[in-house]
Amino acid sequence: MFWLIVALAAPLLTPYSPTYQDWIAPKQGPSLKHPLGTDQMGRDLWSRLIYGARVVLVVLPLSEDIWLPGGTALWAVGVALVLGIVLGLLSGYLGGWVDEIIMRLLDAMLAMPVILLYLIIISAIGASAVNIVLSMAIVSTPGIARLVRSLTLDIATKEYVLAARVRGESIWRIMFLDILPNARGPIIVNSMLEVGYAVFAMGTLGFLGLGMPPPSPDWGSMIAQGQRHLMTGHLWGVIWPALALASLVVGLNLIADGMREESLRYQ
Amino acid sequence: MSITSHDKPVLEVNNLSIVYSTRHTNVQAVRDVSFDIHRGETLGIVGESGCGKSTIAFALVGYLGANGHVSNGSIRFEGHQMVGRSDADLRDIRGNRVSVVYQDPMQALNPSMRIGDQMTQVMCYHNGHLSQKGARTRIIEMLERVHMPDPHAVIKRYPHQLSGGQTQRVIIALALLNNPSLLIMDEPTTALDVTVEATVLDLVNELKTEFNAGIIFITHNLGVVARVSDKLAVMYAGEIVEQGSARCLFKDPVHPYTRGLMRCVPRLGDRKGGKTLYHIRGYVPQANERSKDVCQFAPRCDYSWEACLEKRPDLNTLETDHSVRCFRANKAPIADEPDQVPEKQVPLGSFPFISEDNSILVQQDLKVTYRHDSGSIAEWLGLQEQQYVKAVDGVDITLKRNRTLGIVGESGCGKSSMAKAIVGLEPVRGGSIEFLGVDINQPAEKRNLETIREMQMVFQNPDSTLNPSYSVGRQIARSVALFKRVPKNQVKEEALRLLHAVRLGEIYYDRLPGQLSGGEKQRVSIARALASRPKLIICDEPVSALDVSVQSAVLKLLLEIQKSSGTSLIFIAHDLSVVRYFSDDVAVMYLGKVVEIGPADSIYQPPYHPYTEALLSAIPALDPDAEPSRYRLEGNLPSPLNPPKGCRFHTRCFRRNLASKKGHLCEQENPPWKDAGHGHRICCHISLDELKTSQLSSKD
Repeated sequence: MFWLIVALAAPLLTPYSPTYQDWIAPKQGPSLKHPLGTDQMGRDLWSRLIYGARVVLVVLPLSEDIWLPGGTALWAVGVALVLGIVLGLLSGYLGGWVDEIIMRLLDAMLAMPVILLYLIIISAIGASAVNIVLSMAIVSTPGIARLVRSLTLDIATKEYVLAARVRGESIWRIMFLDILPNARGPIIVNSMLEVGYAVFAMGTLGFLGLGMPPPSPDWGSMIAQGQRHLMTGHLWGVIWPALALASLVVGLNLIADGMREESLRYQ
Repeated sequence: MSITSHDKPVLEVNNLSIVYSTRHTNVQAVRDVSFDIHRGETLGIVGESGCGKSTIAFALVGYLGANGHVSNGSIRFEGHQMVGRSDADLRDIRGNRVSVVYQDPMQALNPSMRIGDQMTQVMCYHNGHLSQKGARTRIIEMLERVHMPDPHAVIKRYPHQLSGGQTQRVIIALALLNNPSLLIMDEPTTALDVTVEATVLDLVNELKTEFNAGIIFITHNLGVVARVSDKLAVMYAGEIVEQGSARCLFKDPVHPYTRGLMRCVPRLGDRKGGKTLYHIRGYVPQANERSKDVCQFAPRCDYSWEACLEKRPDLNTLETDHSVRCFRANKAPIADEPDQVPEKQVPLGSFPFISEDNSILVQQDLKVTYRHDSGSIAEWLGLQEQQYVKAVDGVDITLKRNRTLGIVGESGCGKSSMAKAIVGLEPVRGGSIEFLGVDINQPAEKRNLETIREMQMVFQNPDSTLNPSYSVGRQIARSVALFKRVPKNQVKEEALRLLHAVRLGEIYYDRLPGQLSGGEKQRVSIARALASRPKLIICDEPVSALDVSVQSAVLKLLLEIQKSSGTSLIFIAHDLSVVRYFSDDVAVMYLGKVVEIGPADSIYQPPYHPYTEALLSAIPALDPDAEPSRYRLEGNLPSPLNPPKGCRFHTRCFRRNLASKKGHLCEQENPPWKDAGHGHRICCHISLDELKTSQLSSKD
């Protein structure tokens, strides 16, 4: 059931229909030619929406010419996963002062208000795709690391881990061969949620004007720009991006919930 | 045992069938069970895991859960039908007329309420008119009846401040508060140590005559059920296969399953050289695998006929007190037990042994301690002395080649900590360990590969001993590949050979641990330990978590392996009969020290250390008529943070007065080792002759 809702809600289908930006007629409401209307500069909103989704989820523009697969949100969570898993495993498995240091590091990351962190990083280094990814990754890492740490603490007491220790296997082998595969369930579920947060973060950044540089069809900046024209009755520039953002995040949450239900059922 | 029965039974169960509805089908958990209980009578229900005994217990009080229901039959409690009763009615009955005692005492009490409050709650819920004071008097009275020391202090305590045995007594007291007519006990002593179990069983027998309640005692332990029951019902795969008075069943068991169970358990006199341990081949069918119209036990039965696979036998009455569900019962009863034909041994190849020296493991004055942080500020500031839990406090052991050393002791004696220290999982705080001439006082990661591969370990819990994400074969192969005993291209072959050696077919190679039963998983872990062809395998309670019939199969396997490969074994257990059967030498541990050590034969006859004596007298015999021993270990295990000065056992020793200075010596000085011949040593102040004479005389 959940999967059905998810399929309807998450506009993940959008990036795959190639459309382009049409720069002609400004500020139109929805019509046959432009299904969602156009924005203040005459660009088709539907295509901007689609491209916005692409940026976030599908493609990461490193520079004008180099594009990496996987949008900003996915990359951010990917980096956070790598960092978070390693830190969490080390922290949970080794314990002692390693644990203390890592936890305090994570605490420091968490203590910073997210937006402030973004502001600092981005105003220091500038707003490019890579920097956005980096800042989102830093913000997502503590959540993942803590989850992995608590999973590790539980799994490390199991006898198959003891058996591996008796065999004298190295820490890294034990962590990646024994502990990690058995922690994958909650980690995957959590990652879906993190992608949702990252998408939302992109929206926030865009709204504050710190997102992808224009003319990139970033949903957040679309909202920000459209906002100025709200008073003149042109709602469409704001509503569609806002709805898109909300539905994508909700959709991801529902996927995560669905996965959690499935994994619980098998226990 | 006297049976006072009134005319009307307290509980009448007729043709009870219980079904669980799952996603796909309805699973029949219990089928056609009938019994009745009168006041003052104890019915023992015996069976292994999956046989449905707990399901019956739940059904009797209406706790079947959302997907279980009684599909057939009736339960009449005190004349009233229980099936289909409303929740409100049931609530009145539970805790009042019917009480239940569950297995894990620690989890049965609310950890955030004081004992006194919990007991008051039970009383006042069912007796609205009772005042606080009245309830309190009654509670204290009850606690005294269950021999709880210092009840006034106990009611102010929280559950975690009591030991396992004490908590179980509190629960029994709680159950009896409202004078129930029926008491259901579901494996109440399984989680307890043997000496504690003995005292709880004494209590149950005592209370039976005093309270005149009907008791249902559910367990898988035949010895325990022999001690407490008047009547007995043996369950297999959801059905009762044999039923009758306990005396009849133990003297003359008819059903092959009952007979098998009784033969699986090594009696105290059995030795591995003499009798081969019987085991029931196969495994209990899962509830959803059971076919309806055949004898459930037939696939595993050594005496089955064709009829057994075609029709389901009825419960036939043999004599007044004895009914059996078997086609052979009346017609061709099984006469003498043929000795089981030993199964063909799979050759493992002998493990190369290099050095000439006979002893493999020499351990001297081993100390393993854990830091105890009480968490107080004074400690944090460094003002208080650091406290240590002295888990192992100076133990000397020498293990020779090809011998099995059994280590026995109850929880808290340090045997697991010692095993972990030997294997490198725990740091050693003092003393030395030498293995094959090499000093191994280092954690496992730092040891040489050659040293590591000569010593492997089999763990206790079959459910967590295998990694659930990889197939069984891969895990064995991982061990094989790591230790490089065979060249790379033969790794899979070797893994298959190991599977074969533990009697698991090739199809197990690709199976995930979740698809295996407990016994099979334990076999896989043995195969994994064997992968490195070690000289020494340490088995930490390898069969404690398994059913009785599976236990014997795994023990047989270990024995075979030892014989064919010449591996030495250290076998840690808390079950004395099993240890005696299995080991060449036995060491008894108490509170971090070895109190007695010697060849298995000599340990089980006087003279023995008083603690060994207590352990031996706590073992329930498989004979309902046997007199329970008079020696019971009183008191609690002293805290290992602060072990008693002098002899550790002196606080609970009942032979103290035999030592010089009327036992004061025991408090002051560490007892010396006394040699009783043939390598048998006892650590005690009392002279061996005195011990021997007084122990022999008390045996009569």
